[in-house]
Amino acid sequence: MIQFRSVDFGFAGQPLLTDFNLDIVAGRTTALIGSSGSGKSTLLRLMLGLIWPDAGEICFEKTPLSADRLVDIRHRTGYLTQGGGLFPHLTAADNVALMARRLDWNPSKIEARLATLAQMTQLEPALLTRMPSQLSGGQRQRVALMRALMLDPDWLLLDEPFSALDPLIRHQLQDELKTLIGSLNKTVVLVTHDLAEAAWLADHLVLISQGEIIQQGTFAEFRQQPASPFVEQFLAATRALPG
Amino acid sequence: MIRWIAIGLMIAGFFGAASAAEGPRPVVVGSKNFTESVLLGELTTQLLIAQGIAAEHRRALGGSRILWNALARGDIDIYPEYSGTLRFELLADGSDSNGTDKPLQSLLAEVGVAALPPFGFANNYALGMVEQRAQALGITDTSHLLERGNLKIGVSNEFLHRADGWPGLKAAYQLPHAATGLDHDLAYRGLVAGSLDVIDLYTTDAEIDYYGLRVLVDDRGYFPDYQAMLLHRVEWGERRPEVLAVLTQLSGQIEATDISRLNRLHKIDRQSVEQVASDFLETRLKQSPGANKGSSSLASGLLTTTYQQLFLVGVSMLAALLLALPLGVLAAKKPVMGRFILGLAGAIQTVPSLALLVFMIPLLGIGTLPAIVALFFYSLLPILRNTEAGLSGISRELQEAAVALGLSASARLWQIELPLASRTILAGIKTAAVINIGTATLGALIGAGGYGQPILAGIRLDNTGLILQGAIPAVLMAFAVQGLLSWLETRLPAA
Repeated sequence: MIQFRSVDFGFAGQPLLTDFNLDIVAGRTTALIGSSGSGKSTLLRLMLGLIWPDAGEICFEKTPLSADRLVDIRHRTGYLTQGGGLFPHLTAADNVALMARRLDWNPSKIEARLATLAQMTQLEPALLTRMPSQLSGGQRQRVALMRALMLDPDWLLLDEPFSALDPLIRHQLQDELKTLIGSLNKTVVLVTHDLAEAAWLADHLVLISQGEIIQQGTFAEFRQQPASPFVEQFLAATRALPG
Repeated sequence: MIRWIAIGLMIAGFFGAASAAEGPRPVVVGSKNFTESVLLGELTTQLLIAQGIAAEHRRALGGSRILWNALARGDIDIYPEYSGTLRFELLADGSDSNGTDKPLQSLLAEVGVAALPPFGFANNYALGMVEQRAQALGITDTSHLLERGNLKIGVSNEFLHRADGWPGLKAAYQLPHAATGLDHDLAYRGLVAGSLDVIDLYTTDAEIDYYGLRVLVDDRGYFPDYQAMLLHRVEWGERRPEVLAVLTQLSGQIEATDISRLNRLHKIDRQSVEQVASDFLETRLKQSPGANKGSSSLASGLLTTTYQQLFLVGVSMLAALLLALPLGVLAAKKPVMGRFILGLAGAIQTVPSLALLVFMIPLLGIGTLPAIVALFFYSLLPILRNTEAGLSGISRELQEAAVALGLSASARLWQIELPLASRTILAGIKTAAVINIGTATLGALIGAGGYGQPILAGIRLDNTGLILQGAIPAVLMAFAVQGLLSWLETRLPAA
C-alpha cells in the first residue's frame, strides 16, 4: 500500500496539492486520470522522491519515505515515462541491464532475465543489441517497459506510457500490458488522460482536477453514479464511435 | 582502465622529461631580441661547447629588462649587455638619471652581478642621415641640426623614452624638432625611402655600411659609451670559475668592424647565426665548435620547435583538463558556485594573451614554466564552459530516469551524464586546443621556444621564409589536433 497523507506541494509559489490524501491499494491497478496540469504526474514524481512535499508524507508499507530509504524504494519501483527515457548512448540491452549490473548480478542471471522480459513484452531479442535511435517508437516503449521491470519491482509507475505512440501500436500495447499486469500481480499506478485506457487497464480509477480528488471507484461506479457534473462532462468527452 | 594507465604514463613521461633536463645543469646563455645580442649569445655558447662545457643558448628572450630580471632570478646564467644601458637604464635609481661616478663593477657588485672584461667594441647610439642628403645640407655634426628645424626625425620607440635617449639628447643640443617613434628596422627603410631625414643608429648596425649612411659626430659628447660585455651573477661565477676562464678568451677579441661584419653576414647576407658564430670562432680563436652548427638545418630546427610546441600545448592542456573538467561538473551541480567559477574563468579569458604571458614573468621568470601556466589559464574557460553546458543540457526526462532507476550520484555522473555531455565537452576541448596552439607561439617572447621562435626571428630579420617556418607548422598542428578531436567526436554517443 502506498499512502499520501496530508500532502502539500507547490511549484513556483503556486500550490498544486493541498492536504492531499490517497491510499493506493496493493496488488491492483490504480489509474490516476484527469486533464493535463491536474497534478497526476506530480504524484508519481513525489513517490520516487524526484521532488519532495512541502508538508505531509508519502508512506510505502506504512513507513514514510525518507532519504535513507530512497534507493531501496527506487530499486523496488519500476518507472516508465511517455518518452521512455532510454539513454541514447547505451544499447537497448545495456539500458535494461544497467541497474542490475550496478547491483552485481551475475551475467548469466542478467541474460536469463533479458530473455524472459523480451518474451514478456514481445520484443524480438535481436533488437536488444540496437541503439535506441535504431528502434521504432513502439519498440522503444517495450524496451523501456523491460527496464522498468528488470529488478522485478513491487510497484510499477506508468506515466502516460503510450500517449506518444500511433493509435494502432498503442492499442496493441494496451492489450499486451493488460495481459502482462494480469500475470504479474503487481501494484500498478497508471497516469493517463485517456479514460478508455484507464477503464481498460485499471481496477480502480481516481479522477483528479486541480490537485483534488473528484471521485474514485471502478469505471462502472463512475458511469452509474457520477459524483458531479464535472465527472459527467469528463465521461462524455470520450467520444463514442459513430454508427 | 587502459585509459587511466595511459594518462598515468603521460604524466610520468612529462615529469621524467622535466627531471632528466635537471641533471648536471648546462650553462644557460641568454640574448636580447636583436641581431647583435643573439650573435654574441651564440658566440659565447659555441665557445663553451667547443671547450667541453655543456651550454645552451636561449635566444632573443626580450628587451633589456627581461634579460636583467632573468639573470637575477637565475633563469639564465650569462648574457651580453652594454655599459651605457647598465648605468643609465638598469642600475639608474631614478633620482639621478646620469648615474654616479662610481665604477660600473662596484655598482654591479651592489646587486650581486659581475661583468667580464668587455668584448672590445662599443655599440653606441648616434644619429645618422643618408650620405647625399647630409652632404647637400652640409651636416656633419649633431649640432648642425639646430639650424635645420624642419628636418623629420624618427627614432626607435625605446630610444624615444629612455633617459639616455631622445629627451636627454634634445635637451643637450636644444633641438627644436619633434621626433616620431617607430620600429628600429622600419626606421632604416623610412630613411632610405626619404620619408625621414634623421634617425637614431646603433653604431655597429650592418645597415650603416649597407646603405652608406653618414653617422653624425656627437660634438657635444652627449652619448655615453656602450661597451659590450658578458654579465653573470657573482655567486654563480664563484661556483663555475672554469666557465669564466673560458669566456675571458673573448675579451678584447671583437672590434667594432668585426661585429659590424658579423651583423651584416647574418642580417643582410642571411647566413644563420650558428654559421656566422662558428666561422668567427674558427678564424679568430682557432676553435672548432661544430657541435652547434648542425642545429641550423631546417629539419632538425623544425623537430626542436615542434617538440617544444607540443610540450607547451600538451602539458598546459592536460593540466587544464584535470582542473576544468571537475570544476565544470561542480559548476553544473551547484549553479550558484557555477556562476562564480564561470565568471572568474571568463575574467581570465579577457586578459590579452600577450599580457597574460608577461604577467607570469615576475612570478615565474622566463622560459617554459610561465608559458605553460599562462596557456593553462587560457585553456580553462572553453573546457569549463562546455562541461557545464553539456551537463546542464541533459533533458530532465533522462536525468530523472537515471535517478528513478536508483543509480548513485557517481554512477549517474560517469555512466550517464558525462557520456551524454561528451560531445559538448569535446567541442570545448577542441576550441581550447586551437586557441592554445595559436597562443603558444607567443611563448617564444618569454623564452619558451616553440613555433613562435622562427616567427619572431623572421620578423626581426625581415625574413618571410623564416616566419613561414613557424607559421605553417603551427597552422598544420592546429588542423591536425582539430582533425583528431573531430574523429574522436564521431566515436562518441550522439547527444
